[in-house]
Amino acid sequence: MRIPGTDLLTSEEPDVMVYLGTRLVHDFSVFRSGNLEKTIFVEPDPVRAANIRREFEDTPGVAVLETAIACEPGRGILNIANNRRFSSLLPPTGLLEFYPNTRVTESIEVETQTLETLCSILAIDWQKNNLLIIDVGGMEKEILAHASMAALQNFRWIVIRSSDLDLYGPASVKAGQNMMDTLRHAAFTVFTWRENTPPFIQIVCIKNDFQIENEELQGNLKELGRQIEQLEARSEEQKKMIRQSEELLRANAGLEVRLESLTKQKTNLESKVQSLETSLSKKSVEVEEMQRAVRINNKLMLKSNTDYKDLQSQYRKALEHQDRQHVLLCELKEKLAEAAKFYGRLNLEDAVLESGSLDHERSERGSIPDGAESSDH
Amino acid sequence: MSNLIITGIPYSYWCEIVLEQVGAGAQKHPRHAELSSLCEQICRDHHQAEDELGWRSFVPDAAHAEQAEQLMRQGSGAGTTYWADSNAALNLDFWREADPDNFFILFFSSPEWMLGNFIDSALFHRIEADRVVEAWIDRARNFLQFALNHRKQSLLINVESLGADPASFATIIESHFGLSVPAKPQQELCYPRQSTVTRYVASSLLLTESRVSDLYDNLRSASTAVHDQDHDIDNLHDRHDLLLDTFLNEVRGLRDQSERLAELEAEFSLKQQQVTKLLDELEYYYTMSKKQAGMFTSYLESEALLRVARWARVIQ
Repeated sequence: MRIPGTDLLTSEEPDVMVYLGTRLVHDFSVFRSGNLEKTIFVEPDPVRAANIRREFEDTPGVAVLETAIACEPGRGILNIANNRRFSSLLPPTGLLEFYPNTRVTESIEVETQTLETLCSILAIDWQKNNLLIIDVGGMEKEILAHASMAALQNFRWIVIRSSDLDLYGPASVKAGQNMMDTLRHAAFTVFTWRENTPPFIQIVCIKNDFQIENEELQGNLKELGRQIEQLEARSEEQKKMIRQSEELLRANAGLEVRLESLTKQKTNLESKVQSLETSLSKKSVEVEEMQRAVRINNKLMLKSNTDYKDLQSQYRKALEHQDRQHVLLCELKEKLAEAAKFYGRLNLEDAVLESGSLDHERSERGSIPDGAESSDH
Repeated sequence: MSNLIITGIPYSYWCEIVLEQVGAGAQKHPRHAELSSLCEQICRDHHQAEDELGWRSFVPDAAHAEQAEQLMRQGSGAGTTYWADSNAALNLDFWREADPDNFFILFFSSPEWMLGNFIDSALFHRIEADRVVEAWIDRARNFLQFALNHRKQSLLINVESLGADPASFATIIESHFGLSVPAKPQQELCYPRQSTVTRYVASSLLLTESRVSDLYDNLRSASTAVHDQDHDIDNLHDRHDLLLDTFLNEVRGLRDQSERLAELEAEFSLKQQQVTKLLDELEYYYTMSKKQAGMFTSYLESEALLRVARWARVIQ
């Protein structure tokens, strides 16, 4: 695997090289052969940082900064993989499809810096030919998407080892797109090529000075255009306001005439209202009287209703009496009929008895006392 | 039907694993020999006079494509077949295009393992060692590139880890490719073990070679873990440092042996000197005795009476 950006060391001879993540740095001679004024290796893994420090301890102009580059300065957790080349602030995800025997063996807390703070710590002079190499295990998408244009423009060349797949989580393809947009926006011409073995790609970005000037001019032009547009809009608004005020004046004259006629109408209406109020007060007196009469009527009605109900109850009672009388009369009639029947029978029996009794009386008259005969009757 | 194309880094003894593990379950491709000879022929044509260690990855001529496709197609049968060849590592894309349904098993090893095996197998020569390292870099780069571009069709396996757990091989093939390869009962693989001295020497030779470290770390990250040891991705310097104590102990042992040998040699030399002296003395005494015997004989011959007695003893 070729160390990213090493071609530029020989072909372009940069002044300063900043190397973020040294996972592919195995051939150190490459960095000794160039005409670099200053070489800065930024490596969060203490073991790798120590290796590089040991390797370059006698080489002037080489510094090793033991820190990680992230979106925010502070502290972060570095996932150390069994193959230390795959260590990252992000845990490996898609990488395992290609390198299944990758394990995070240990997690250590490391210091983090942003690209901006790194540039200020290293006092990067933007006017020099600076080379930035980024190989930070998936973090490049987040770092560059959040990097300021000023920080990126400190470098003439940026070489990034990345992937169009999500090798580390949770950075996303969208973040990758944002990274490319940020680089293009920062006036870099971007070239992408695939490494021989998937899943890595290398992105070479070359700062385009003409594009920067052009963009500045275009920016100024846009600003001027915007100001002209604003002025035109303002002048249009003023014209519109004048037209509106003229219309308002015209409308005002008509309104005054209208107001006068309305005032007259109002006076007439007020006098009408006054007469209506007078008649209303009279009517209200009448209404009160009528209400009083109605109340009396109501009371009378109530009373007559009470009387009526009383009469109804009395009538009902009379009917009941009548019915009872009728029943009694019927009973009486029946009893009288029975009495009549009995009387008739008695008359018949009496006649029979009378004839028999006469015989009997005649036979027993001598034995029966006078007092007993009278008590049977 | 599925074809497994198995290849690996030279001097890593991956072929032994294939024969031990895959050979037990899967069948060889019916055109295994033809495929290997075609592959070798393609490489030989491309590299001309270069020997095999100097062969590097290349794109073969399109003219060979049809032949390769035909041979691959002739392997159609039931089950999983495999073709294992070291040279296939040089043009993986070519063999993938020969049959897009092929699956690839790519065996790699640490550079020091490969270099150590080379040192053990031949007389050490720095230029040859450098060529071995270059061959490792070429294959490793090619494997990584191919495996990352065709993740579902390829499997990267560390031979050294598989050596620690060979039985897991079938499980890995099944889970990754969905191919059923019956597992062979676990047994120790019979490939040679490296001495610490060799390993230390090999890793020392690689310390200055920064390319291998990066490549090997990425290969291990992209590989399928076979054994727990796969999860430790320590760098070459750490591995080298880890070997130091054992290396020093072995060196100390060798030094002790060497000193003992020197002592023994000195003792031997002394003994030899003593023996020589003894031989000289013996020779002196022998010469003296011989001289005395001559004198005695002449004395006997000169005295007449003694001569008669002697003659009489002979007659008796």
